[in-house]
Amino acid sequence: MNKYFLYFFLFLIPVLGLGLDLKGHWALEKSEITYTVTHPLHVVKGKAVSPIKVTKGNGANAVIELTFPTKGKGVCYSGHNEFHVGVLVDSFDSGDKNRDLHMLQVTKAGLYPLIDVKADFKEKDGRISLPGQVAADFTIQFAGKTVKYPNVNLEMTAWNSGGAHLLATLRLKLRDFEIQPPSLLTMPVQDEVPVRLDMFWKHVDSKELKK
Amino acid sequence: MKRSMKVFLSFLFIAASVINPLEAAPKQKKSHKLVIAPVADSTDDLGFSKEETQANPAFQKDLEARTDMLRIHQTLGLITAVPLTTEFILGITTANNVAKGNSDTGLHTTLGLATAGLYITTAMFAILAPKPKDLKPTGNTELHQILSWIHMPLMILTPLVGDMANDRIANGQPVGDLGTIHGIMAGTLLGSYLTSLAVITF
Repeated sequence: MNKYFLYFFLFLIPVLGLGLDLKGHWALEKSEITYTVTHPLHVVKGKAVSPIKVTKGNGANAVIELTFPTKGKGVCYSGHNEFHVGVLVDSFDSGDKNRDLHMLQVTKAGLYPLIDVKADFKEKDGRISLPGQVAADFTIQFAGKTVKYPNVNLEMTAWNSGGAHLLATLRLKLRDFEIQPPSLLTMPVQDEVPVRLDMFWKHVDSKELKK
Repeated sequence: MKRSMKVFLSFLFIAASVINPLEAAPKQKKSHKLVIAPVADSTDDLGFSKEETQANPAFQKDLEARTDMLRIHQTLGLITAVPLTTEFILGITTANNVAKGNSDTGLHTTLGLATAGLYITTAMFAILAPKPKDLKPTGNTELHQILSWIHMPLMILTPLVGDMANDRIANGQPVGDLGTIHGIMAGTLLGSYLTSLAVITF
């Protein structure tokens, strides 16, 4: 009888999720990217939410469409995990249109309309336990500059067949991207701008990824 | 029976070990056998349209011009607040002097005209700054703009009413309610102007 219990528990081991295999392709399902700018007089947060509901047409002909100002793809193989995210600079909303236009100017969004974020990390023993954190290396192309941020804590709160939920805070420095800190009343904003990435990824097959 | 049970359980165990939750997901058949290509290296692979990712130097140029003009607007706006406040205080003093029979309103008039000139120059830098089509102001900028619909007409009307009162003083006629109306308009103008300045700052 004890043997049956042993077999039963052995059978349960993979189901208990002591480690999850992340292999395969991933696509960004939804995301919220938030920057925080600190000025001596106030703190401003700007968000890029994806997808956005856009109403096209009027009255009975009105159609709600989803637009994706943030797009991303990921791939996991042999313990390596690579994620690539693109964000349209003009998708950030700080609650003040004039400030957003000023942000577009200082970040040279007219010349570089996209922020390109690449993250890669390796799993210990090819497996990841949840919830957990891994050190990921980020490479960011923004405002015409490429800057690497190694060993950034990447939090994983979910990673299963339904999808993955990844969170990270990047402490960007305006100086790194040669961005002149905007000023108000001759007081410039702080050089460090934390950017919070909150991303939900879905597992897809390679055919779906090509779409 | 016992032996067959063992075999069956062993089979289940092996099967469960091979199939992990991700690979069991729909649309993910045999994912462990996929030849996995590296993640999208270029942003073109992410699915953005060319219009979305194409550089637009003309737009950047407009943004630069807009920022430069609004920076001047900001500086001139702060400078204008000084003569505007001074003019209001001077107006109260002048009104008291007129009540005592003095007819000299020259300094108040001159400073008033200079302030109006500075105000118009400040406003022009905001009005003429390039802006994207269909730009709808939001947040504090919206409030800043709404307040301009109060202080801008008052900046035209207040000196006109002041001029009418000035004519009466110069001709030795009683000013009547014109002085009071001029004072209320000036107070509203100063209040809305300083509020407009404060909302954009904090």
